[in-house]
Amino acid sequence: MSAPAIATQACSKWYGQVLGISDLTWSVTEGVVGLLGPNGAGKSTLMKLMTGLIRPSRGTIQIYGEPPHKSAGARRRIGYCPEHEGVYNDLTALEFVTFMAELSGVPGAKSRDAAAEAMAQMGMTKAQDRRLKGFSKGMRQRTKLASTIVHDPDVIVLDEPLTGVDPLARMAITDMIREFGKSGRIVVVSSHVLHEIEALTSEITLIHRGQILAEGNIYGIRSLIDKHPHRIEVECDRPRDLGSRLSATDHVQRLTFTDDKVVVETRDPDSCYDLIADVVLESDIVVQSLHSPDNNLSAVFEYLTSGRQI
Amino acid sequence: MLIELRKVGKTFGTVQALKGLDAQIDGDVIGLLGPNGAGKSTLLKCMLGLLEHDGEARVLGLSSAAESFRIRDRVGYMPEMDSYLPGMTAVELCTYAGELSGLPRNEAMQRAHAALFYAGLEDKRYQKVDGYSTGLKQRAKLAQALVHDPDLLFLDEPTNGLDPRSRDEMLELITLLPKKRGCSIIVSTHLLFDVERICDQVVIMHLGQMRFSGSITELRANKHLAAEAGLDADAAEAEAHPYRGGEPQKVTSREDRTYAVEVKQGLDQLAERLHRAGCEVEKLQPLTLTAVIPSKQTPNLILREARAADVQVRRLQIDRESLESAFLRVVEGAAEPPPATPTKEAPGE
Amino acid sequence: MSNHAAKAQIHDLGYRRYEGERRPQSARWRVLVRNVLSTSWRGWWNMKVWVIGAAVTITVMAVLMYVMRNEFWENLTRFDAKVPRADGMLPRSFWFLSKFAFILTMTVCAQIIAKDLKTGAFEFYFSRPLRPIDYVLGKVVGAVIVIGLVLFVGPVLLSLFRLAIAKNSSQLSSLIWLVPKTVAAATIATLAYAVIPLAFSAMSSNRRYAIAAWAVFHLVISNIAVGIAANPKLNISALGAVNMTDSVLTVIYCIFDMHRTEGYSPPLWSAVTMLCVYFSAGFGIVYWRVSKAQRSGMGG
Repeated sequence: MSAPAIATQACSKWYGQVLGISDLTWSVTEGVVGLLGPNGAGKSTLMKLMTGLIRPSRGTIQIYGEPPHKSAGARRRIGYCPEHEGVYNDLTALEFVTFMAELSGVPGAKSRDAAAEAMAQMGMTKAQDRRLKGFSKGMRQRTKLASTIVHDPDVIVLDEPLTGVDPLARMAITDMIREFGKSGRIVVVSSHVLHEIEALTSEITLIHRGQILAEGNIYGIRSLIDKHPHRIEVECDRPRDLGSRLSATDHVQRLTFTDDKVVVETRDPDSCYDLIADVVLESDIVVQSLHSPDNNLSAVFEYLTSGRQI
Repeated sequence: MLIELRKVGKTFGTVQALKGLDAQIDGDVIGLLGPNGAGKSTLLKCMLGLLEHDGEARVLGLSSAAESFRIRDRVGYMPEMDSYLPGMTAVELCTYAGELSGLPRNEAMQRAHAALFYAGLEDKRYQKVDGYSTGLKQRAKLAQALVHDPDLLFLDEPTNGLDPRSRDEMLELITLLPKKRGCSIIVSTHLLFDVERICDQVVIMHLGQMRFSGSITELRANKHLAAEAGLDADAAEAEAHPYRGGEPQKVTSREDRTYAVEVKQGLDQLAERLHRAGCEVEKLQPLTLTAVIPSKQTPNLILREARAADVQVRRLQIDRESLESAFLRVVEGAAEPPPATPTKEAPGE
Repeated sequence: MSNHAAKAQIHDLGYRRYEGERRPQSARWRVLVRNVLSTSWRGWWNMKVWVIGAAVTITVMAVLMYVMRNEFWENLTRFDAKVPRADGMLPRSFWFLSKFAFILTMTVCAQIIAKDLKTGAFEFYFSRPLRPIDYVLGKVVGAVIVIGLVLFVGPVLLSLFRLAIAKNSSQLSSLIWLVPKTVAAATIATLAYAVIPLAFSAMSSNRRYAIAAWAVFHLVISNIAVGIAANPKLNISALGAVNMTDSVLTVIYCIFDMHRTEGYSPPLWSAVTMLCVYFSAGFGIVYWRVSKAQRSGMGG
């Protein structure tokens, strides 16, 4: 069995007294993974470890079986796009990406072509011969991303790729990330804007206080958070009637009424959905909408990081 | 009227940053959207009287050309970048800000504390701003914009760099401002989710022109005005015969009858049944579809068909065009909105 | 039951609108002055140490002045002995004080505007109802006061002291001119050491570059100019006026009607001209830079 793309084993990193990550065991084998966590939780540390920029204080980290800080071969299979700007204003975009390609090990003869292709993938072909100095944030970001994928890596690690980017460029970048993931390669993407992550993937890893607090499918994680029962919001013409009928059953833990809505809290959402449909149809209550407001990443994040244990 | 623009234009050398803007903007929380280079910051500078421009701009009823100081007296600005004086504590900074806006020293100091309380910096207000984390710096920026009791606040990317919890809190603070402080807010941001959440009006700029100004509802309604050649048959009939059988006909437009439905399993069966029941169905995802129900029906139709097919419905909502699609539609000038961004996958239970 | 309710009250701690007056536009620059002063006064090494140094210098000079005022000393000077007169303490004191003043320019003046340029303070300032002239005036007056503590207060006090230790009323009346002369000299010196480094601080957003540029100008370029000017073979003694200190001292000694015995003195006309050029250029650079930043700084 081939080695997983990214694998850490009891990996820790600290900087003097400051803790980066602590005893982290984690692996990624495919697709797009969202990396989340409050500020200072250890996301950047983990990303720098993945790309070989720093080495673990304890434990191991391997990219396709080899430690990135020692093996240039492993490093060549990774592309990293850090959060901060690091571009050379006097170069044109194409020159910059070509330069980065050569730095990443693409043979000199092919580097220009690879760069042009990467720029085309990012939709930047028209602007590639302009100097970076005049670029907007969205264009810079796309150029940086082109330089990240130019050497055809198997894994790309993106730190806040959409910060400050206007909606048009945002779509281009989001599409590129999804395409990349679909083509069998790995993307680890971190962001504070949870909607962005939701639009990209449903697999996440949540880091808190230097350790992995939760990993896996967002909705799977949600269903494990027992302490916060699922909420189902029903907007209808007779919310209190609906509520009173529902309250007679075991499945419902709590009912809250606002305006023309009733919010049902339950530990058994599966039965509850069926129950609500039955009650509504039997009593001829007209439903306007039905949805679960906290079955999303925002709620998961909130519940898990609010300081108390699940 | 909050802002009135009449043929406002600005040219830098050969570049026309603003091209004859005409608009009347009013509201509680207004989102200012547009790609980079659209002219947002130029417009802001013109409104504050920092740049000379063609045409006429009135902010809070004051002319930007003649009364720019009075405008700046009543406008608070929260910049995108770091903006503080090193070595000062938050209280000193806000007091200084108040004094620069003309408040007497004691008054400035009292209001500085009040503004810092509002922004949630109660514990840290005696510490130097240099040592603040990003989240705290953003709050400090908000506080210094509030000290002098502005009637209009301009916030530039207020949630930049904040982690999810701080973003939520900042958005809460912003939403409460009009009620608690009686000021209006213009938020300039790229995060359309934030805009959907907190704004009631949007202004979309592109290439120096104002492409849209109005409420979010109107923005979405525009889609159907643009896309449809005329009203559909039912609505046309209702128009022709407003009263039938003595009762006024309820005309529900097409977009009010389009629902997004998410199921646990069995999407195909449901789609089939809904189609037979007279709905226009479009399957989007493995577990999501949209259905346009016939005009005299209620959404219960969907639940009925689902129950009959033994399909569990997990989500049923009016399918509103996302703000993102609306924005792209306006900015790219396309007649057809781009395909809706795929919604999240259904829960795996 | 209801009696309790009647006596209870919960106050709304929320927001009060500000209905009070606002200070007029013309008074806003004073806020900036206070800010410059309070920022500079922080810590020991920005200002306090050097002001103390200047105070010590003045005290020493006062003591020397006191010692030299008696007749024995005056007789010595009449015999053209190369000893300084008591009055001569005054212009000399400027030379000593200028050393402290220079350090102050490095720790305070050359950074004032550069710091603002760097941390986005201009957005902070100009989103408020502040005109460029308010900003410039506030910073200039602030710098003048900072430098003035060293170059103005000391000499003026010293001149008053000289009057105080006059032997009799006739000497007093002959010496009375000292005070206005000192005031004039101190003003010129203060302005030079305040405005010119301030102009350097307006030229770069990196305060280290600004300080370095000022230091290079004041220490290196100026001395090169003096070196060239002092060479009798090249006939451009006016070039020495480029050295700000020498120009200032030349003017000061002229005001006091004395001769400078050490250092290079450029011709008076060149010193005066150069100082005028420096003042106007300095002020102009600051104003121009601020106007530019006002318009472009915001929004991004």
